[in-house]
Amino acid sequence: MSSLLDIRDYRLDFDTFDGAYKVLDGIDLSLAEGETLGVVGETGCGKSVLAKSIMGLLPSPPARVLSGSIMFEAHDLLNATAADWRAIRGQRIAMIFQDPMTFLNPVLTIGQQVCDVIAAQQGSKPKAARLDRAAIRAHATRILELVRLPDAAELLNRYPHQLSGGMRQRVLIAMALSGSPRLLIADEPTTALDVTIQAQVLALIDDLVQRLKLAVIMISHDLGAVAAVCRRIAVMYAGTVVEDAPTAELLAHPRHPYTRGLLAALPDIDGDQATLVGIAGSIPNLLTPPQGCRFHPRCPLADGRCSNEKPLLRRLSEIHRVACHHA
Amino acid sequence: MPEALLRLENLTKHYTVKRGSFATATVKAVDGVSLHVMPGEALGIVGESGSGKSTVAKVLLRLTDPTAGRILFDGQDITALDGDALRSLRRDMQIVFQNPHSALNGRHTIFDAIAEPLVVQDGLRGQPLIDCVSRLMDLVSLPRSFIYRYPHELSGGQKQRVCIARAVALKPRLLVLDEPTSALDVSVQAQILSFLKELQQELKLTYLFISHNLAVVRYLCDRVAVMYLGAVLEQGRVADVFDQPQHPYTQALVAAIPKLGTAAGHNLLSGDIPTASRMPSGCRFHTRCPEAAMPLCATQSPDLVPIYGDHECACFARTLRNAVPSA
Amino acid sequence: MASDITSAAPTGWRARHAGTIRQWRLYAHLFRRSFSSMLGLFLVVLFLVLAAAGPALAPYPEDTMGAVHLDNRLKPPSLAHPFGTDEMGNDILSRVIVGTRTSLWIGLIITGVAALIGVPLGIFAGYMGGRIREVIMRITDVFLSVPGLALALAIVASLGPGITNCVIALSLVWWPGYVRLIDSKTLALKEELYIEAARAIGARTPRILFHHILPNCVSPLIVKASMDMGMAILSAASLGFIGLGAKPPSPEWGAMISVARSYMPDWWWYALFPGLAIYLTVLGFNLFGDGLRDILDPKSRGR
Repeated sequence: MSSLLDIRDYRLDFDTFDGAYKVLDGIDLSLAEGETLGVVGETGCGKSVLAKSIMGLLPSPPARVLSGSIMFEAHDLLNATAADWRAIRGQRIAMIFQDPMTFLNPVLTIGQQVCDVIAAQQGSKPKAARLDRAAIRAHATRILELVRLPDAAELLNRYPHQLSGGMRQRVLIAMALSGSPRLLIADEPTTALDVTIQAQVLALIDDLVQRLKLAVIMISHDLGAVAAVCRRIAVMYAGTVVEDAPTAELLAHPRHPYTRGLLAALPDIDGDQATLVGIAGSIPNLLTPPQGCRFHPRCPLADGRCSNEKPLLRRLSEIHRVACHHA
Repeated sequence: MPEALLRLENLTKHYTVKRGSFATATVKAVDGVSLHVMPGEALGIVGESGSGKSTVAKVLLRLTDPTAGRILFDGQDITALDGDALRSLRRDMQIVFQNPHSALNGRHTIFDAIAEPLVVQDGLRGQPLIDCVSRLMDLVSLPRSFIYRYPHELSGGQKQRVCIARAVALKPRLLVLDEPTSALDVSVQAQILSFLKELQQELKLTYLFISHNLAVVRYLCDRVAVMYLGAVLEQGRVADVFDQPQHPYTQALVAAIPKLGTAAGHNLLSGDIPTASRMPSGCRFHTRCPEAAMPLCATQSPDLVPIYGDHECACFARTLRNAVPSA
Repeated sequence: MASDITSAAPTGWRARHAGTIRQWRLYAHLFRRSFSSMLGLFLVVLFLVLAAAGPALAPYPEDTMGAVHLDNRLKPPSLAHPFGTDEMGNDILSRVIVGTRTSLWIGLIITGVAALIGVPLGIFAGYMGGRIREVIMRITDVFLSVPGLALALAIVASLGPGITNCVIALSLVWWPGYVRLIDSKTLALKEELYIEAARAIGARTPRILFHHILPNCVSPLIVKASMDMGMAILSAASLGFIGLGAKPPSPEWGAMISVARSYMPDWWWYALFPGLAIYLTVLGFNLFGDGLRDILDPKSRGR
């Protein structure tokens, strides 16, 4: 199994006035060609920071890499130059974000914005392969059709505010796919959308994965949305990956107490629930994260070992990894 | 039949918005809603963005004036109450907002925030005030050491507890909860939801719970009303409405929720939610209705018709099918 | 749920204000990082020290009260008179130092009166909206549509020249800026959820205005006031320069330059040093205000 993306022992601090926030603490993750990975975790678990690291979008300072590597295809992303990034972003790795409106310029038409993105990608191509204006416009129409937007040619002349939230998110997905990337990072792609629209967008992402053999990292706090699209799920807590397994396996046999807690905290639409169990306590302050396992102050299984020794992400089976002394 | 604590009769709220320099448009945010909440029960209102569910809350709390209709609280018509009568009514009905981050004044300490209703309504001060605030903090499980902290030093869940303490400080009879957990993480949402359930029993509260999350409504509420573009399309007991949804919209909503362990949520609806300023004629849902709409649907608006017990649904096709004895 | 539920409320002053202390330390840290802010702070502190201790620091205090030393007329800067002397033989350094206090009073009164008129009008206009706002804002617009200095000139002309009348005139034309600032801030603040929350609790309008809205207006107000201090001093000096403000024997910077004008360019020091004093004071307050804005306005802060 050749891996497309390989993150090893990635450690990252954020330097602020109050001191260094230990945001990511030894992330180990890899992703194969065409694989769909969901990264699930609550506020402050570092999932978005991880996504931005892969895209090279973290300003430094405040971000400071302490150790580790991020390899994508043959590129070492932590040491990529500006020229490397121009060839990677949009054409090898692309990203879509939570709020589609903030990523579209309200005074430019959809066509201008989509064509700008495509035109920007021509710079890193050999002269002969570059598209001219008409070809760019044709390509723009084609990618809007790819995300199943009706009347794509007509849509190019419209402004973002004339589109609904679901359509805007489709336009952003289209822009992300314009350079035929191999990896799509989706950061909370449906959080700002209504359920019926969310179902449409999730179905679209699922469909694109099948058709384009695209690798996807979908980041979300919503286990349900992630499970709908991704074959594999990594659960993050306070800057560490605590469990990593295929979706069905993770949902059927969660091994980490945090994963179990998350599943128990989800209210269920089917059937009456007498009680709903939250996870006691709140997320730790990453300025002074707990010693040992970062989850131990909230963990029902914690013992002396958990507060001293950091559990490593170890293999329980070929497909299931977990970072817990008690799993 | 005992008297309802809150009864809304044909409540209507229209806004006039400017379109360009001269033209205006009427936004029918709430368009003839009739609801009742019995003492001690929890009524859920679900709907997507633009359904008018939050406007219903604002109007019934008299934070904004209705265009038409009546609001009866404990048998008393409060539609036209003002001045001191309105102010003392506020003791009996309180609200918890969606976003605890912006519902608290950043320049006030937790003490100031919880004390405000006691100061405003009871003129409490000095040691009795401190005692009262401390007791409220115990009630919502906030450590007393937080009393002089500022909102930005607290987590989202803790802030929402502050908001709840504020809302129950005056021992209201009706508590309106406007998406109280949608800005929170699932593990914290579970804490707050189970806490709200306990609190309802402890303080004998009546809840009006507004949410876009059906599963949360199912957990907390006894009855539910489904809103779409300013009108109630279906209402009844939660088990009836969610297990046997009658209205095509409710069916689509229930189906759209991504469920763990199954594939992507089924998407029964195409198209986007129309805006409340361009209301479709006839049944407001007919433009997206997957059931082949009858000609009637495009011209006339259906009323809520009882199906079984207190389960009501506003759909011509459904009424027709129920009226004709099974063929 | 919370494990430290039994923990008592903090009692010590430091413990109770831990959050505030951290905030102030952060402000200090951010302020120190900027050279121009620190330069502004230095100039403002220097100005305040000179204003407070003026007569005690002046080498020839009697020269500021209209003494005449005809033997010492128009001497260039020297060790005895670092800034030189004027046409009456008075020490310019002493007069510049003592003039600081006059300028401080002028600045404080003008900005203070302007804020006292402007803030209540602005907060009222912004919160009430509708017709009340329309009336207040249109009156404000009328004042803003006439150049402030020209209007002040007209007022001084009708009241008669003199430093008191000059301050009154400038105060009367200075407030519209505050109405504009506070009105727009209030318009934004009243949409905040916590204002709605306060209304839902049954808080009366005065409480909402003074407890919720006003404290949130303080930051922009401080920034504007500190910048206006410089501008007000400059305007008062301008009126002094054209002979409508302080009268020559009294050591006011504008009035000093006004007289010095006829001794240019041969006796350059006479105009230069009062001019420099005005320049540095205005610069100091502007840099200081800019620095305050950088730390108090979260949007302009990099953190």
